[in-house]
Amino acid sequence: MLIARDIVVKHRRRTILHGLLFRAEAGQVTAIIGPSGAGKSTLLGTLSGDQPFEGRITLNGRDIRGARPAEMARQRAVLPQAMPMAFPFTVAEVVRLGLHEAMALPHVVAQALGRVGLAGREAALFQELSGGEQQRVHLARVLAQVWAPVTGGAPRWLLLDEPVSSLDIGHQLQVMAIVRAFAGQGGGVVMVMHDLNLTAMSADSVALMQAGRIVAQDRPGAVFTDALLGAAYGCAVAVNRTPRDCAYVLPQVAGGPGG
Amino acid sequence: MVAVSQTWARAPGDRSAAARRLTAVLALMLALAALAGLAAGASGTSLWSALADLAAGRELSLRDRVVLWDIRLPRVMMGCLVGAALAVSGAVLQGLFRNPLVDPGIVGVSAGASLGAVVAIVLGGSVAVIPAQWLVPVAAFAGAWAATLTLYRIATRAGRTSVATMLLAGIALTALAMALTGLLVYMADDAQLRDFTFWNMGSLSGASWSKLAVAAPLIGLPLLAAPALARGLNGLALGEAAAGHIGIEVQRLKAAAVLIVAAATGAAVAVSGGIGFVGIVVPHLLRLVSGPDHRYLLPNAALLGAALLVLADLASRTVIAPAELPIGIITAVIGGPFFLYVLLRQRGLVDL
Repeated sequence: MLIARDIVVKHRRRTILHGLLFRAEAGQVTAIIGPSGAGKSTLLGTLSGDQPFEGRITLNGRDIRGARPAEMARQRAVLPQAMPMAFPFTVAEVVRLGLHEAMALPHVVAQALGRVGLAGREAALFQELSGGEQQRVHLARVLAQVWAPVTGGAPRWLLLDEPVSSLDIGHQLQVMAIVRAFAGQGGGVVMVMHDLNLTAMSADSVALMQAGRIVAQDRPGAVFTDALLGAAYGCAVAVNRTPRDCAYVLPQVAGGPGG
Repeated sequence: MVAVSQTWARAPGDRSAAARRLTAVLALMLALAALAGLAAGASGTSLWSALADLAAGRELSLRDRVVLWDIRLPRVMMGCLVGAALAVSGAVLQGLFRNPLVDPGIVGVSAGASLGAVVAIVLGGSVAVIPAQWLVPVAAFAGAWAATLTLYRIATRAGRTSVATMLLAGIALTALAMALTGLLVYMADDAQLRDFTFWNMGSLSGASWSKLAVAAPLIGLPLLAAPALARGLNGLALGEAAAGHIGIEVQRLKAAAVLIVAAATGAAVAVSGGIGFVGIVVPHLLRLVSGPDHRYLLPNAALLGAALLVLADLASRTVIAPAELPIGIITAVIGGPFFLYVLLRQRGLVDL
């Protein structure tokens, strides 16, 4: 269980997060959605331990404040949004960075790359890959870091900031399948998402943010309503349901060819 | 070849086997360079005839003993220490700043040392506490430390060090130190001016056992500590936040890196003056050959830096023998164009 209570984050004199409550269960995929500037990445960064905050965050029952980086690294892996590498590392070397010395096994690197569809690309230089491939290499690194979703009875966590932002639809679905499988084996996943339909299909719980607050956190069917999404995003949003009761949003442009 | 391809088949994209082979090659290269440094020089002394004398049980002539034991050997060893210190400092700073063009000269360490040296040369006559031949190295070391620690204090706020602030403040501190150096040079008389100019161009000619005894621990300890930074510097290539996410104590890493560089570079510049470009050229060459993994880059940089500086020193004392060329001129003549080549090759690749 990952619980954040009364979280206030300030940058200079501006308050970015206004005392919010967020919770994520192990074995579930929890998505954070909301308009740009709502504080989604700040919330994920705070959960990752990147910045000072007021309030209390517990990961598997332990306060993350004052936890040592190495101890945190064994429990959760973090995928930031954009991450250029400084030196010409190979793909295998990048993935290996997430591994602890004791578990730096070649087969974990190969299997992690296989899962993100980059099998056999170990020797390629990271900097020569496309943006989407680089994002998947980092995903493989993050997966390798928390390779077993549950260790010693405690769930491990993936904290992902827009994991599919540079990916085509095929790889978007692949990443969502990876994330579902991780949660299915008992791990916890928290991800910031922009794509509402992908979120509705993949998440067990959705936190909708607006202006530094969580305005709703519930299962997707309860959060994806015309009223809630319309108010948060500041535009008319028409939510439909598939025959299997999955919510989806079909954008309508006023005066466009479809309307 | 079979063994090699099997290694690669087991862990593709892993260049550690190649990097370890490179370590062996570089160690051999350093041994040969040191031997050459001992064997050649301005005097007619021959290492081989001296060895033949020893083998035949004859006493060495006083001249041979002085040249080999008291002049060439400490000089070769000082060259090893200084070259290793500059190359490892360069590699550590580049890892810390995540930029392959950073050099101890850029973050103000060398400028601080220069200021210390010129203060000692111009105003030193009035200080009688420290023996004259020690005054310049001690002052240069103090200057390098003062510059590095000032820089670190400026860039650290609330326990966090901003690498970008450090880089920019380093440029400002360098300018300030150079202005003060210029002021003192302006005040200096002709003899002092000449002393400073030669110190500034760098030389290993003053190497002696007593100097070595002071410099060896100051340079050796940070060099021995440097490999402990390797995993942290690798992680830092991901950026500071991501390095923390994979379990690295980033703030401790930065503090340790700054201390190591200040001690190693400060001592190296103090005993040998301004020797440029070793810190940029060596790590870059090694990254081209065996990749940027600091676990291998740092020891390999020490070996290659030592070998290159011993060879450069050999050139400096044989090219226009019996006179000597300042070694800083030789490293700059080779290093300057190389630096430009690196810059041009990376233009467009690295946006900073």
